Amino acid sequence: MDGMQDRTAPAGERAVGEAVPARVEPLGFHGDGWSYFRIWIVNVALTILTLGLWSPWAKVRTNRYFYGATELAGSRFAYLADPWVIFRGRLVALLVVLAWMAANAASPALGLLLGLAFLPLVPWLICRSLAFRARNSAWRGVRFGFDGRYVEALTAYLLWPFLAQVTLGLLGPVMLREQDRFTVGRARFGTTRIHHEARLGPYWRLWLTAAAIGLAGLAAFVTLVLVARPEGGAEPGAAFAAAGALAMGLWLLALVLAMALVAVGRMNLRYGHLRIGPHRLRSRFRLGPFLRLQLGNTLGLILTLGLFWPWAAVRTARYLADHLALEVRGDLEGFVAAQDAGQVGAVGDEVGEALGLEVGF
Amino acid sequence: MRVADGRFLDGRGTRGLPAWLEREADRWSVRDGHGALLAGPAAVDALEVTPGVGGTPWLVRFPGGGLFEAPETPGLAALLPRRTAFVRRLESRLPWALAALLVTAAAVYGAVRWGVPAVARAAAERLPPELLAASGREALRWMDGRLFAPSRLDPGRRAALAARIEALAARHAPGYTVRVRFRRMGGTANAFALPSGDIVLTDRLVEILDGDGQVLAVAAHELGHLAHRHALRETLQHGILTTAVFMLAGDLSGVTGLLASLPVMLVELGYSRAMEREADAWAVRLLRAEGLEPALLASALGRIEANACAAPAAEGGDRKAAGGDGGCPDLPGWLSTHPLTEDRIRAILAHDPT
Repeated sequence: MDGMQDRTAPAGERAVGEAVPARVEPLGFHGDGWSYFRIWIVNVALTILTLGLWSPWAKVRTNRYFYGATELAGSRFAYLADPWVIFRGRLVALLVVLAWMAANAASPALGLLLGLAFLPLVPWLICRSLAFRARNSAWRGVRFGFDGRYVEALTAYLLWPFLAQVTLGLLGPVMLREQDRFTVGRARFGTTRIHHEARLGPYWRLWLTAAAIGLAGLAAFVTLVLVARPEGGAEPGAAFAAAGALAMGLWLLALVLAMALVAVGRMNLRYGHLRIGPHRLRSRFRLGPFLRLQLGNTLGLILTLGLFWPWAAVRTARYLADHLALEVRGDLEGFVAAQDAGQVGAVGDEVGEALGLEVGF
Repeated sequence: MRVADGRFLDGRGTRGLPAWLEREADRWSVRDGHGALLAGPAAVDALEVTPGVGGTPWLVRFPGGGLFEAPETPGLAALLPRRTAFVRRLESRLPWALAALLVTAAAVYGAVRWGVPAVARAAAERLPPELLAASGREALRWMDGRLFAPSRLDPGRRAALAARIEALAARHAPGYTVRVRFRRMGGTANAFALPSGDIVLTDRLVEILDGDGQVLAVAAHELGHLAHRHALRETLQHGILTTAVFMLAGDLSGVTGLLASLPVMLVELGYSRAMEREADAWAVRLLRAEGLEPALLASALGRIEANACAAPAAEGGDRKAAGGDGGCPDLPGWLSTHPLTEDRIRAILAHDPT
């Protein structure tokens, strides 16, 4: 079922091997908040004035800016999607959503039936969505690609989540690894496959740490409430209220911490174990900078009623670039473009986005 | 003429050469450091140009797949497609960016202030009233299991009140099957209207109010919520707002995403207060049509507030019951589901000519 092996890089994937010392090429981000602010505000205004028709062009300009501002080894990335393709995709997505809403309004049973009929399409949508994004990303004129198949998407996004659910989250780490192996591990750059080579151990460690923090927060909450509880039905006083607020705060803090830890750990697991030919991606996301980034963005967004958004997006892009680097063995000149010139439709990407399918790349 | 210095890629792989872009009249070509021709010459129409956005590099693809990439230079402007030229002008001139900001701010304000409520109202009027009936019944069952105990009011009083309220509903809110339910909820004096047509009155409410007239006035306010389809409109408004936020800030994640719901919440509180005023006005009209004093509602609201403030921690201690109409003003007005009681009383009495 895997026709990819014969398309693997000819540049002697193993021959160069691990013996050659690696040179580290960090990713660089050259965007700034003011430049993106102008792109963003013009996009928003045009989208409003055209009643949404501008939005595909807005998406393309935004992505072109962020890809074009990201640099690896002296060359910028490029986003190549055609806005008209996205426009058609959005139109289909809109029709699908409208049809479903109409069916639901006519009869909830019909809506449910339509939803069930839609379910088998989900893995296909995921594959098309990842393929669209990969195909329209390029570096030095060579496009990325995605070779994930229907059955793999079905396993990673329906079967494993189901198994993780019925085991009450016990199989969650396996699910996460399967999803990473699918979303980034089935991608390629030109003809060179990208391999996701993480073991299960780190996934389990991340999962256990997050669970421990969450449980510690819960334990602190319960203990505080029990200790501060007034004796024998007395009126709960101000002390109880204060203890309750403190307990609530501790629990919330633990939840935020656990969520941030999972977000950071997840990125490291997804990107820190990628091999492309003889080169490896290095991912060093850390909790402290991530919390600072999120806190800054959140405060900025609140204090400016959302106008901080372009700066938040630029800060996030810079944070991502700052913590990723490619360990290069040999040089980066040997990648070969794939010859599949066919365009991937945006229907999968846009329908998926409209329905809130979350697939990261 | 040398237009830009950059890099040439043959389109087959990542091996790049330092190169420069040359323009002779309308013919464009790429040459390497020794002046040897790498691509072209080609006319503008034969080139696939991807201009930079906000200072990112330009890409120029030649027939045959060769790719030239370079940082922006003034000479490259000749390659700019017309539509892109327009957007770039908007982006690069500060006054245009400010105009875009103004357009956006006005559109957001208008949509939040008038657009969303108007759309929700129009949609709610065209949807069947029983659309949310099932969720209303579900809500009552949920509250019965957790918040409510059976009423201890005199059964005769209950039956008489229910009959009068249901008769009011039949006259003024046709299309709804209104059922009055009496429940005990500790010391909370409160009334709820559920989209199923159930109107819940708590024991404490009936006890603190002075006579049937005040109870009818509070029930009339709840009937106003039903007649104006407030539950359905709230659901629709929430749907529109969250969809809009998601579309505008699609890739917000984690903690930031959580806080994106904050402005939505504040806006929805504003809608909620507007609906309370609408229900008050509706109740005033009903009372007047029935030959009752609108001031009954004003005095009832005063008593509900006095009760909520007098016994803040009484049984259950729940001062701000979900969706109800009681509450001590311990929150600033803009953080509250209801307008301040004194403002409501003033508005009700202002409606009243006497």
